[in-house]
Amino acid sequence: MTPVLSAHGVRFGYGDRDILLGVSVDLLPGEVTILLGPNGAGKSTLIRILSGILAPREGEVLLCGRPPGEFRRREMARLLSVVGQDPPVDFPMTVAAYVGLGRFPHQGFFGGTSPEDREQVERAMERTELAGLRDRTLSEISAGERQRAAVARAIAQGARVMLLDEPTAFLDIRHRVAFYEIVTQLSATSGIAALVASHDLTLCAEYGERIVLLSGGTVAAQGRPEEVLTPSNVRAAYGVEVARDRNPATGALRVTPLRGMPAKPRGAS
Amino acid sequence: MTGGWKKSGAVFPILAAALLGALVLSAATGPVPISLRAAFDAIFRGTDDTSARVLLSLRLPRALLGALVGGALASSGVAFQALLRNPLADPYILGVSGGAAVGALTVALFLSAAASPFLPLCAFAGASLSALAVFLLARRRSGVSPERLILMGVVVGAFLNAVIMLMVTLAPPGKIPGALYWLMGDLGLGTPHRVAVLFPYVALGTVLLYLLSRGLDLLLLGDHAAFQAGLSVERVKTATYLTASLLAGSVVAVSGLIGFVGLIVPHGARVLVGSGHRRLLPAAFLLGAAFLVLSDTLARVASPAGELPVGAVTALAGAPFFLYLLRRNGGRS
Amino acid sequence: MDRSASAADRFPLASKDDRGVTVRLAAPPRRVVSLAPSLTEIVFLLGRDGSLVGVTRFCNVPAAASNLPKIGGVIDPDVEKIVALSPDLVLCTTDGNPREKVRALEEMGIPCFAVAPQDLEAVFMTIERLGGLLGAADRGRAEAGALRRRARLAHPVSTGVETPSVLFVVSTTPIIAAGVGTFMDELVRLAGGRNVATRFSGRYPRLSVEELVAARPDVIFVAGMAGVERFPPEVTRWKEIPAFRDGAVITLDGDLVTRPGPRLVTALEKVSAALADWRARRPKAPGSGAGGKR
Repeated sequence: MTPVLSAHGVRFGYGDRDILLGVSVDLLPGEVTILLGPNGAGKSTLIRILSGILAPREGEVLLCGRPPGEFRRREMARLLSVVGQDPPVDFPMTVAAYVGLGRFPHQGFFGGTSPEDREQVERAMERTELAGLRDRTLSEISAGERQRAAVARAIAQGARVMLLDEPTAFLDIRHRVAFYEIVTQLSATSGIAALVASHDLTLCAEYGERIVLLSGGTVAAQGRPEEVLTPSNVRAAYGVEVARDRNPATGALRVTPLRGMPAKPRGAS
Repeated sequence: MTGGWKKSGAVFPILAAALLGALVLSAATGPVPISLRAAFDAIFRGTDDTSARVLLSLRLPRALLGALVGGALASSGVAFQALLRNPLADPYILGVSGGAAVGALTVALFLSAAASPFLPLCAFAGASLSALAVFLLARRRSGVSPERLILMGVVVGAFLNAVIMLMVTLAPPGKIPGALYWLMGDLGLGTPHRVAVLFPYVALGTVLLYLLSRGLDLLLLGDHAAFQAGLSVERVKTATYLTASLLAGSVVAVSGLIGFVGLIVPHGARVLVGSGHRRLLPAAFLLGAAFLVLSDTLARVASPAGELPVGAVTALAGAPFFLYLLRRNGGRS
Repeated sequence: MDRSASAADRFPLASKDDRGVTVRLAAPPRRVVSLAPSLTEIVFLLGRDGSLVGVTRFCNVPAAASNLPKIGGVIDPDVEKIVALSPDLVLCTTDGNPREKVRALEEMGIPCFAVAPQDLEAVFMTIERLGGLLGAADRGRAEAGALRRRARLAHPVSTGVETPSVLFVVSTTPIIAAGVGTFMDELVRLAGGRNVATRFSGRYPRLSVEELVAARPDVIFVAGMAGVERFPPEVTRWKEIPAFRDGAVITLDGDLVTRPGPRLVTALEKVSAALADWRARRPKAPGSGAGGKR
């Protein structure tokens, strides 16, 4: 299968310091790839490079076989959507209107709202269980619901690739679980290639199909959770000791951190 | 008060009716008595007596000017608040007022009366130049950020204010009252000719902003998010900046610096129609127009000491009204 | 004639100024500083300009006054410059001179005499008082008397004359009129006119063009100052206004009508002459009119 979005040998840094020292990653349709890595490893930077906001110093990024710079803005937005960490809070816009913004790449400035647009917005809200909140404003709903609205907007955008940058960073377990449920279902049913940058080792182990571990500026490991989340990998990346076993209820890999002051991770500055 | 009634189409007809009512009230108010009959004759039969002339060349132009200026300032305010992602932004924040004042005062204070027909042109030129300067100063390779825009606006504004102070000190004393009243805003400067010249600028500016509505909605998400949602962010920012400055600059050139309208009317309009710009921009225009025309009518009759500066009335009367409006909405805006 | 004024011929004297402050002088002052152009004019009128050692930069009448050392403006006199001249009397006005600076001078031991005449008669009395203060009491009385006579002559002769409606403006764009409590208002009244600006409260109301049309003044006086121009054409085209229709717009020297000094009488004479002229040009109407339009 050809990757929808791929990066080869990407180097990038701010100022003199290079953060990414040659990163290669492929995103396949219908697959949820989880991007793991400690703070400062460059997950957000990589996502920005993948979405075309930043240009790599070396290496290339290909979206459907072409570099992002070649696309016109709206064309690119029809292919790729991004969900960030913090959707706007004091935004006096209703949930329905906010999700509706996601249709912009299909409407442009002058296009009206077509039945297709409305349908996509409805479906996006249903998938994220927001239909009941459609008329509430963003400032009225909870943080978890706001995050779901951001995901809904990205879904409504109808893109083939979805990049999600630590979207559950400030959310409680309920919303984290809901989030991963939504994304995995979405990917499975719509064939969307999703990349989720995350910190959450436990949920990654449970939900991840493919994990890319970013550490020290390169991809330290990638593959299935069993292959990537080894104690030595985790120790090298995070400096934390973990124990591994199988979750008796689900059968998925379970990774639990052990007590003790963490060591300095490899490649940390 | 959420959802439901905001979507109702009733808001716009009501606002339009309010504007119409304000215009009629303004045209009906003044020291020269004009009977209804005389008004009809003037408009439909082209009579040329004093009543007709007062109505057609003093009152109607003044009322229409108020509508154009109020609507333009409100629309410009909406645009700047979206562009800067800041609810405290107003049309003057990025250099327009200082530049316009320097242009206008140069004519008002230092040139002879023969040059006074050129005052609006000079004010407009001043406004455009200073807005452009702020934009260019704030621009970086990565584009224009709201924070830098505000910073440069403040710096340029402070500089121009100092220039204005200097000008007033050096001016011949007989010209200072006129300059002061211009600075406070004065719809009495509207002649039929000026209104006619202003109209295309306001029409062009408001239509352009309306076309940018979706872009303004997306800008509120933040530059990155807007970019990723498919917006050509820098182009939209530039277009918004230039259009909003053009709008503000053109009305300030004719009527002086009328404050408060561009800051508060956008918030009032949001309470009425929500913050989607497709509805917000027209609503703000209508609300701003009606508000300013009413304020001007009040300014003309409120005080036994003669006409009050309209900018004072907009703030004095408007602030409590809008406070009420915002509180009713739970302070959300 | 004020008895106490002639008693003040003799020095040493104590005289209360318009603030209620008592100024004591042992002898006629020899080094006088004036902080207002009107006061300078009065000193010259009294023949005591030999004692003037400092004036404001606006003191231009008579011409000789411009040659005297300058101590700043009216609202911004320079205290140090004044002190450097070692005056034994400073003449000032509460209508314009900053209170703090006058107080500063007094704290340095310089006597300050403040006057603030509000109408013509008060100006004449001020001339008399200053005459006494400066050691020219007889001259003061004589000059004040002469001015009073001239002022009386400027009143209209008979009571049955027509009263034109008059507007006196200090600015043409915007139109700022002299209202109740101004000297210009008093001049208009004394000359037998009716000031249309008195329907507004406040001393200097701003009028819109429409208000001008509604008021329909017969005669308009413009207090010309640096920068005050003629009315713009979009205002003068309103021929409903008799003053514009008949070309009865008269510009007077602004200093003449705003300085509370002897030339106020000259201003009165000019205003009176203009109104008499207006009456002469009227078609003869039977009986006396209440005059003026609305």
